[in-house]
Order: sequence, then C-alpha cells, then structure tokens
Amino acid sequence: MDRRRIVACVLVAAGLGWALSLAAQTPPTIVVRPDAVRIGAFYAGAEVEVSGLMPAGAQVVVVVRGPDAEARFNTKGRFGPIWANAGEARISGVPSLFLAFSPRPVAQLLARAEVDRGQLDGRAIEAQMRVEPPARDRREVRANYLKLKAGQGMLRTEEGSVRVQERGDQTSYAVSFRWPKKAPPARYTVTAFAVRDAAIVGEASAELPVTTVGVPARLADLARQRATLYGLLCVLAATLAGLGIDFIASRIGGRVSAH
Amino acid sequence: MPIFLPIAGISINLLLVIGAGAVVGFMSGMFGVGGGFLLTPILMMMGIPPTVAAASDSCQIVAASSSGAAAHFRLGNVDVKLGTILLLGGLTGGAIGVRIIKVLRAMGNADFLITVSYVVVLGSVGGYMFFESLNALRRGSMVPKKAAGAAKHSLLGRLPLQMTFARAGVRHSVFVPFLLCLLVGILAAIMGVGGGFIMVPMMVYLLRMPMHVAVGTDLFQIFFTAAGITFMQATSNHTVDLVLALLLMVGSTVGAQAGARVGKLLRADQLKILLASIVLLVMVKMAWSLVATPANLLSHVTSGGH
Repeated sequence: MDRRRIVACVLVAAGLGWALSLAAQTPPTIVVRPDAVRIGAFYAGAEVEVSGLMPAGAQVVVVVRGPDAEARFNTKGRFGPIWANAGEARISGVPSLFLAFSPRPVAQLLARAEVDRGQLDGRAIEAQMRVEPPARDRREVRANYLKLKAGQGMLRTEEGSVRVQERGDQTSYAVSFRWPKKAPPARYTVTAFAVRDAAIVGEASAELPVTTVGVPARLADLARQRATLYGLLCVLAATLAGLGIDFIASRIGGRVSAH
Repeated sequence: MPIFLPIAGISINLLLVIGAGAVVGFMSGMFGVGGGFLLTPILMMMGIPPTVAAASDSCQIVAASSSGAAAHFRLGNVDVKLGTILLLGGLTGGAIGVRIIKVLRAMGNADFLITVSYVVVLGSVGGYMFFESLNALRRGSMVPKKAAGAAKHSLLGRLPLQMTFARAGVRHSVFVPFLLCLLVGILAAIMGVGGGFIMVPMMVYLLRMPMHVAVGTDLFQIFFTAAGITFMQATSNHTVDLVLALLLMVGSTVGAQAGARVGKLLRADQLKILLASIVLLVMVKMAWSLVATPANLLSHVTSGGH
C-alpha cells in the first residue's frame, strides 16, 4: 500500500476516534419542569419533572438541595425521672431540603469518598453537619435532626425512581416527584450526576426557584416591609370581623361568647 | 381544599384549620374561657411553626374576644371599671412575666419551668373547680360556703381604696383585682397563654363575681391584651399570619355558637365540672410529657406566646 494512503487512513481513524470520544464525553444536560414553583393562595405542592441526557452507560443520581440555613433547637436531656431542656443547639452546614433519586442506594453506586464529597446521602449530610456549642454535639442530636427533617418530608431518598433509556451513545433520564409542600420559598438547586465505575464522571445543575405570588406574596411583603401597617391591619381586621360576626349573630338571635 | 399560609410559609388543608378553630370555639362558647392553651399546641401539631401558631392565635383571640365582649356588653355582663383595673394589672403582670421568662430562658431551662407551672396551675385550678363542683352537685345547689367567704371578705375589706363595682355587684379594694390580675398576667406570660382559664375561676371564687359577669369582663380585658400582643408580635417578630387567624376565627365563631347552645342545656355546676375535667386532662398530659421519653430530642426554639 502506498505509504501516503496508510498515513491518510491512520489520520482518518484517529479523527473518527477523537470524534467518537468527544460524543461519549458530551456534557450531561438537565431540564427542570416547571422552571419555577409558584405558590399562590391555594397552593398544594407541585409535580416536578427532571430530565436530560447523560453519557452512554452512566447511572444517574438526581439531587435536589435547598440553601444551607442555621436552625436553632432546644435539646432534651434526662434529669432523674424527668425530661427537661438541656440547652440550645444551633445546627448548620446542612441543606434546608435534600431529595435524592437514584436507581439503587447511592452508597452502592459510588465510593464512600465520592458520596461524602457530593453530600449525596443522609450519612454524608450528617458528617458535614455542624453543631454548636460543641457540648451539644452528640451522635443522637445529629441523628434526631435527620429524623426531624425526614418527618417533615424535607429529607428523602428514593431508589428506583429514575427512568433511563439508552439512545445510541447517550442515555436519557427522567424522574418525576411531588414537590414537598413544606419547602419554603427559596432558590433550590437540582443536580443530575453521571456515575460510572463508582465515580462521578459528570454533572449538570439547574436552579428551581420557589416563589410566592398573588395575595400570599403581597401579604408576606407587607408583613416584612411595613410591619406597623400590617400589625394595625391585623388588629383592625380581627376586631371588625369579630364585631361583624356579633352583629350577624345578634340579628339571627344567637350569642357569641368565645375568646 | 389546600390553602397557603403566607407567614407560616406552608400549605394546609382549609377544613383542618377551620375544624381546629371550631373545636376550640365550641369549648369557648360552652365554658366561656379562652382556647389559647389548647389551640396553640393543636396548630403546632398541624405543622405550623410555634412562633406563628402563638402569634396568630393572639390575632384570632382579638376577633373572638371583640365579638364575645360586644355580646356580653349588650347583656350587661361587662364591668368596664373592674375590667380596666384588671387590664392594668394584667399588662403590668405580663411585662413582669416577660422579664422573668427572659431570665429563665437565659438560664437555659425555661421550658421545663413553664411545663411545671402548667402542671401546678392547671392542677390547682382544675382540682379546686372539680371538687367544688362535685360537692355542689352532691348538695344539689351551687351556694358558696358563706363562712369561708365572710372570713376572706373581712380580711380584704380592711385594705385601702375600697370601690364598688356595680355591674359585678361586689366591693373590693382597687388593689385586690389589680394584684390578682398582676399574678395572672405573670403566669400567663410565663405559660404563654391568655390566662382566661385561670382568670375566670379566680374572679368567681376570689372576687365573688357572678359567672356571666366574670366571663364578660374577662373578655373585655382580653380583647385589649390580645390586640396589644398581636401588634407587638407583628411588628417585632413578623409572626402573625392573618390568613390563619381569620380561618381560625371562622371556625371558632361557628363552634362558639354551637358551644353556647349546648352550654345552655347544662347546669352551671355541670359546666364547671366538665371544664375542670378538661383542665385536669391537659394537666395530666403536661405531667406525662415531663416523664415520658420524647419522640425527638430536638424541638424548635419558640419565642414565647400570648
């Protein structure tokens, strides 16, 4: 074979290989629908769908995370036969909301170091938790915090809920879930992790803003920004409502004697 | 049907809130005492943050007490002069109580002392009412023991600034209702409640006021106290949820009407023994919470109630 033809074949093969490897390394994508959760007067939670593309053969872990916020708690301790407050504990370094969706338990998909680095399960969150003062930093305080958050639906892990489909050199994924009703207005981060060989090989993130709209938004703004006016409005509205009810009750011959 | 509470920041079933208001309103209408000591824990159980529950309950009490006080005023059951003195005593006591609670919180064991206060006060008030009403039921009438009353009155009668309270039909030194309400105000602030369930029995048993005038006068002073607390909570803590308060009010109004009608079917001593039983039940629950292992070692920090 002509020496030049061999070189050309090698170059073409190399080019194809490079192009194929580029395709395999296509960055993961993420789409969150709806693009925002709007809380109106009759809000009852929302259905959220996260979808996108991942490199072929990758497993997908989707995590929703709320902003870190310090929370203050009273801790209980036993004094003889009586349970009483043993003092206040401030807990920080943990997300206000944590939802994780994966095909199998995250600890089975990833090496422990990767799970901890990405804070991808309850154990990793517990390890990152900061408890102040140090005297309150006990194992049961951390465990009870996670139990409290789980009870509120603000810390949840679900296995088997991510739907995946191989599409040639890419994998499409989708997960649908009910947005927790107790999640307060904030900017939440949704991240899809591509997992292969016990390591995170790619990730894509999107923001999911949760905002109040309409009457609730206006009332909340009034309460925070014009507190004196809001306070007067509360007292006035309650007084007028009470007197109005008394008027109606007296007209229909009833009696109101509640307080 | 869900509704979003803008200050509590959570969505909740509309009928659940109205139902909670109705249950407490029913008791208020039946017994003429406030439901603060019941409603705030019920709201907390429904997932409302404790500070919002307490502050919104105050706002609801403004509505319910204005309605109740107006109704009682028309019936001639409000002694404005006595009510004003009670109000001054209550406000002073409340201010002292807030200071005490601040010191207790700084010491780190306020909640324990609050629970103990509940157990002692509810146990004393409920126990006294229960046995007094039981004896009255056995006797077949509600005639108070004259001897004990006379001895008490002779002692109180020697105090200065004696004043006649025409509507209440009693004569006392100004200091008696003032100091009584001061004490209730301190307890109410420490316990985080309106104090109606302590105040009404005290007015009936210690000031010897007729039950209906005690209820009407208490509602009169509670209206001003709750209005002040609502305004302060709204301006200082931003914790008053007007939507929640108005929903509770709708429920409590309907409940109060039903409670008042059921109450009319019962005799005064039967009503008192029922109320005493409920107060004692709450006391037992509080006492149990002191010794039972809690479901969670953590509880949200509250900043006092009403």
